[in-house]
Amino acid sequence: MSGICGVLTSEVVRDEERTALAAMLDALSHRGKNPPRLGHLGDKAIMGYCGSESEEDNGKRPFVSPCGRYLVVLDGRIYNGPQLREEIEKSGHVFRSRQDEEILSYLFLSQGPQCLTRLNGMFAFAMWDLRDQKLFLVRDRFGQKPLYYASSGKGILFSSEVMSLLKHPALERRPNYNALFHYLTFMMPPAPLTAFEGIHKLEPASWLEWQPGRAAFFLRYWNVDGSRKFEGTDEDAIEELDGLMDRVARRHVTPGTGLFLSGGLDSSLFASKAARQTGDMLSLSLDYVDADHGVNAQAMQAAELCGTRHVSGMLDVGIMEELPHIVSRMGEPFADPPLLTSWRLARMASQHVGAAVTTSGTDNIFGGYARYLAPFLYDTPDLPPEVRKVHTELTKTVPHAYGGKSLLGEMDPCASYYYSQFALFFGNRKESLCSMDLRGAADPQLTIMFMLRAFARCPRATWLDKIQFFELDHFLAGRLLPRIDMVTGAHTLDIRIPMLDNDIVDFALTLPVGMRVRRMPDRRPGSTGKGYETKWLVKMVGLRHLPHDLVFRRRHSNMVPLESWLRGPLRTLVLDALMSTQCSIRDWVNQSEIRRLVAQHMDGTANNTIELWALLMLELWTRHCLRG
Amino acid sequence: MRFLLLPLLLVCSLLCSTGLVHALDIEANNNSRSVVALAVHYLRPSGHWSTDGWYSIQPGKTFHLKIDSKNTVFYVHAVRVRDGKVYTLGDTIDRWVCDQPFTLVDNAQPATGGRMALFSQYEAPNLKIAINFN
Repeated sequence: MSGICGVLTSEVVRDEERTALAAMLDALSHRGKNPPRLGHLGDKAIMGYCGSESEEDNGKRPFVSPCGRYLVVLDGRIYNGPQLREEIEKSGHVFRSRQDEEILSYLFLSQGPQCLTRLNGMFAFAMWDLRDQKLFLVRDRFGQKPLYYASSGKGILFSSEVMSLLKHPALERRPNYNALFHYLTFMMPPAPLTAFEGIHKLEPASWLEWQPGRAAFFLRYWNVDGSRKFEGTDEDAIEELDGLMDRVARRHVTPGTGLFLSGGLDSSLFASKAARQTGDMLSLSLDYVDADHGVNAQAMQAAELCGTRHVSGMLDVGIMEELPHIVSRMGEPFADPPLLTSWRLARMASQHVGAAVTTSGTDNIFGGYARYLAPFLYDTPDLPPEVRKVHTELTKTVPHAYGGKSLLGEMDPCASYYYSQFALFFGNRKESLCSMDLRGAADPQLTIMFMLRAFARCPRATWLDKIQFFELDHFLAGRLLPRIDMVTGAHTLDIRIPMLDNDIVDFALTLPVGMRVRRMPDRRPGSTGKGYETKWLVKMVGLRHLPHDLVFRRRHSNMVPLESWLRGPLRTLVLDALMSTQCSIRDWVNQSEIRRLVAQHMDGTANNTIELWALLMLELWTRHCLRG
Repeated sequence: MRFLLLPLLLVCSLLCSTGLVHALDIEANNNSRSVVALAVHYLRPSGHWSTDGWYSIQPGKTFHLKIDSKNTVFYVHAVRVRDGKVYTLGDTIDRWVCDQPFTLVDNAQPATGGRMALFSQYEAPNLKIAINFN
């Protein structure tokens, strides 16, 4: 785990800039165990780095290329570094270090930003080209590593975390109303927006190029290739995925690496492969004191099966005492309840290991979520014609709840369907919630245009593809990966996500819909009749290594028991935060609507868990990040 | 932002309309030494699924089918006439077919001479696909 930051100016860097950078770097210190370091190249660029490298690997960072042209700071790893190094050495270059930064500097020297398509890794890096006076900011394909940037008025600033950027005196803490308006729909401000005016997040699979005195521009270096299609048989695909998972297990798992093991299919399958690689692996799981989902029991069974040493923990409502600290670390309002589970798991892991593996992302790329079943059915004959007709009419009508054609529904029924199913607040409900001030300050059409643009970019036309494609950028990159980075960064835990390795993803994105969701006899124990299996291909590989019951086990909710917590031990917190005169978000959301949501939840007439949680997190963010 | 709405709408309608040509283009290559007979099950623009048969492909020949569909998912029943081998791939469903040339909507059972046949799922991301029968 590491953190990077930098200040680049059009004029000469002065002492106040150095002081500001030191403050920014200090705010990242939790991301590395080693003392943070500053470096400069020329008189316009200074950068900072903090990390946890071992003594053997503790090269010079920030890195200055041997030719003296590039200053590089890198957060993350280049998985195909050894292969790239070998190729480069064959061309005659002699490496002076074992650092990935040197590989990057050589690639930029010889190929410029075109080299980015060759990188396989989780990374965010900054590279200052002294000769051409250019800054490149780059993020990996899915946004596994974060990178924020802002204009200082005299130049550009960047950092791994928002709160670190805000240490620079040129930046004010002002809310971005468009981002907050989006947050109430998407539960997280989507890239490139952040909740702070003037601060942006670099989009995944993109680079920013900046020169002093000129506006920055952005380019994507990678897009899903819709024309590539897997042409083999079912058995070919099973064999290919099985082999790929072995390969990435070898690549990502080293002695001493831990594994987050829930006892579900993905983590158990990976555990069965990883444990063979290292021989001694620690696995970890977490369950809830107030709602025992049986996760720990299942995880321990899987651990015994796969041969890992296992540690399990319990999460209780006491974690709420850490909520202000968690919110401050996040830096932006974030409404995903699994944030709490991930936080506690990361802490548990950091007490035992320095690096851990998660199989997050598998459901996104292999079609694992139950919510993918409906879009899959839309493109197949299993949806009866009368249902299809009603469904099509409905998608044209929402998101306005009371009839009338909607722009989104007319332009893209699939986007409209997704919006109506998964948006937190939308249509009339959002109108009731948001104050006139917020609706006036934000552009309500922006959310719809954002959806249309994102869906139109999908290179394939099935509903399942469009929704998975959208979720790659806006669920995986927007919610899941930022959560993972924040909780592991806060605990100085190196995280590895092998199922987002380019080799796995490139293969998964060629799979036809029938290898992601497949109609099959219902194989869940105790079930009868025909059913559908999501994540079909992973399940078929799973059958080669795991018992049938584990592979086809019905997926239980593993949600934090917030519904009961909000009614019980957190009732006072909710009332104090959202319904008092001290409520910080009262200018943005209507108090009458909040009162209605709270009253309905507390008296049990409705389950408004996620809505109240989103508002609570927005309130805490306002108190501790915006005004703190 | 609002003054950009109209141009953006035009761009979006262009984006949505390109790639949704109302013709699924199937190139069927018969690389075997026997006639291959094809039936196709596809989603019509009306929202009803239709099964059409039979298309005959001579040995070593290529047959182009233009199907009135904008759905990228469709199903094919292909049988090698010489020995009755049915080509299967991936997900399969059973659909009614007739021995004589036919069109059946919503998998309606034929009044006479009908039987169930196994159809394999295919996907044509850009509404174009080449299928090889070896």
